[in-house]
Amino acid sequence: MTATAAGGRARPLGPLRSRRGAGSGGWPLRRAFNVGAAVAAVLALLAITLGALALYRLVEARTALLDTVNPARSAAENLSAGLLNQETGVRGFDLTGRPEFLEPYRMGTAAEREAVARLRGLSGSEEFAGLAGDVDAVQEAVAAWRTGYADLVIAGAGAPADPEIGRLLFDEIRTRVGALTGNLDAAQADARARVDRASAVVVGTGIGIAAVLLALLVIVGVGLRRGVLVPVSQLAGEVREVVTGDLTRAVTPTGPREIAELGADVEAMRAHIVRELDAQQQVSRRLDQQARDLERSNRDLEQFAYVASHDLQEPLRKVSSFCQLLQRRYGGQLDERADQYIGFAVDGAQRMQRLINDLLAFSRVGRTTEGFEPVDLAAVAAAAAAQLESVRAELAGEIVVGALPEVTGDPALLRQLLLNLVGNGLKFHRDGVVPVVRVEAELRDGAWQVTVTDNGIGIEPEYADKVFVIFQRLHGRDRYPGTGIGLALAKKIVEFHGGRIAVEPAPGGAGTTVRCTLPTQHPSQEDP
Amino acid sequence: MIHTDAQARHINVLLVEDDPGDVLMTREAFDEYLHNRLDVVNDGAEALAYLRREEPYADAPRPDLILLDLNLPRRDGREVLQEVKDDPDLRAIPIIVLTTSQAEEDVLRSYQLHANAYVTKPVDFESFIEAIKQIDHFFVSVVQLPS
Repeated sequence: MTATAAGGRARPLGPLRSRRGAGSGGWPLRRAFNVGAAVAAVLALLAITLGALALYRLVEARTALLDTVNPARSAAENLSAGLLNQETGVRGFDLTGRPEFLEPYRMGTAAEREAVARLRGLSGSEEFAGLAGDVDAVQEAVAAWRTGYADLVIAGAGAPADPEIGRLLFDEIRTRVGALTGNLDAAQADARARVDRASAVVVGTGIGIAAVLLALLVIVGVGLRRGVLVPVSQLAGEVREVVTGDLTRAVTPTGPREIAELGADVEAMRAHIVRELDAQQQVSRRLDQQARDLERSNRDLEQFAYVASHDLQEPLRKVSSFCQLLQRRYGGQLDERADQYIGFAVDGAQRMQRLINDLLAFSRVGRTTEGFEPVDLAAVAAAAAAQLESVRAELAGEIVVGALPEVTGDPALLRQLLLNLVGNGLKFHRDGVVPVVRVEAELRDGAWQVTVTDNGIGIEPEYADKVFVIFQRLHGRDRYPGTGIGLALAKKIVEFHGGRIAVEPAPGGAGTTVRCTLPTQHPSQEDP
Repeated sequence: MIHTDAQARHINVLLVEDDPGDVLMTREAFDEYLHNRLDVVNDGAEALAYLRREEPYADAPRPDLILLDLNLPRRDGREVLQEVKDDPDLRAIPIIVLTTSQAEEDVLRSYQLHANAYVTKPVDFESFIEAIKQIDHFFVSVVQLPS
């Protein structure tokens, strides 16, 4: 697996493709974004400026119209009306001679004055280039009328005023006023036209801005879609394929640089994972191979042990049998020494046979097991006890079997186990003490502890481990029979079942307790 | 044959055994019972020839009992067992498989091939003699043999 360096950083993913080469050559997103923002800012500025300008012109035009042209026009109207009033008053006075007819004249004069003042006030603005001139002309005509007619009439002095002259003079006024109002009308029309134009410009600018905005949005949308959405979803699609199982599918980096780089990194990661997986699979295959080799080697070894033990029996039988035949046929004819020789030879051969048999049994543990099955330990113990019945009876001993559980294991091996342990309990009894062997079980820490306790000679604590060594005996051959394989065999059987075995002094001091732990769930059978 | 005196009964026994030591031992064991005739052949092919009275066994008697070892040269004991039990003429002859093997598969196979009994040669000679005695007693005195 990936080893972490001391610094804590994991091993890098291997050579990354050069960043420059990654991606399909698209603009990097950041640049696109910056350019886009700049363009948008410029356009916005432009829009604002144009819009402001257009609005300003509109306002200006409107102001001109409302604050200058219209008042001028109405002032001109007032002037005209005032002048007409004057004329009416003078003529009336002229006809009737009554002073009350001069009232309109006075009012008209006042109106005239006011209007002229107003007009002159407005005549400074650029719309009315000729306004002052026109007003001058009117006033000049009015002055002429006054001097030529109106004042005369008003004075009422003897010199009659000629109404014809008055009319002529007033016609002149009318004409000049007409020119004034005509010019003012034109100016008004112009101002209106300006306002209309400025409005149109404003509207046009607004539409233009909206259009540009729309175009911008469309461009951004398309750009986002092509530049980001499509590559991202493609990347996402490919990654999902990898994630949902197909690790061999390469991820192709496309799109703008950032996304392409991301794609390249994802691809590098995928390649890394694939490499690691391959490496792991190789390791796993190697381990499997080793396990198989080990298994085969084990099988071969056990088979060798079995066959060797089996084949060793044959010559031994010959030696043993013919020695015995010698004994039978020639026993009386040879001297005592010869009998002794024969005796030792036979004894040696027989012991060897027993050793080989025990070795055979030992090597067979685990070889002949078909599979584990539920085993009633109570029944097994009863069978073992039955097999030891003759020994027990001879010693007048006792075998006490407590409540025993059902465990999972090989029934033949478990019977062998109990046979060994209970047999030992009987065999190693103390002189003069009736052997009592108890077989009990208790559940501890989820496993069954089966104990075989006797009241025999006991095992010194310093030999507690040695007793489990194959062929290891603690006593001379003459004292107790047996090859010393009993406990070694018991240990192999218990460990084959996944448990542990140990000896300890029996409670009360005299005797031995052999404690076997048998798990309730048997372990994998591949490792006996 | 109807026997009134078990001791006097004489049966023919064929021993099929290749190992000379085992042959000698078996003879020694049988020597105690003079009333049995013990013929010996050393391999499976010879055994079949003897049973079929082929040369050089044209004068051979029909055995009342066959003691058959399993591991033989040329024709293996199992083959002999199978052939004999397949042959309608010969299948009635009781066959005791007498072998060193304790293997369960050998036991099972032998009985499947219709051996009448399977005896593992005891490793100890005294027990071997005892076994032969018991075979003899059982098959001569206790059971009826086909004539």
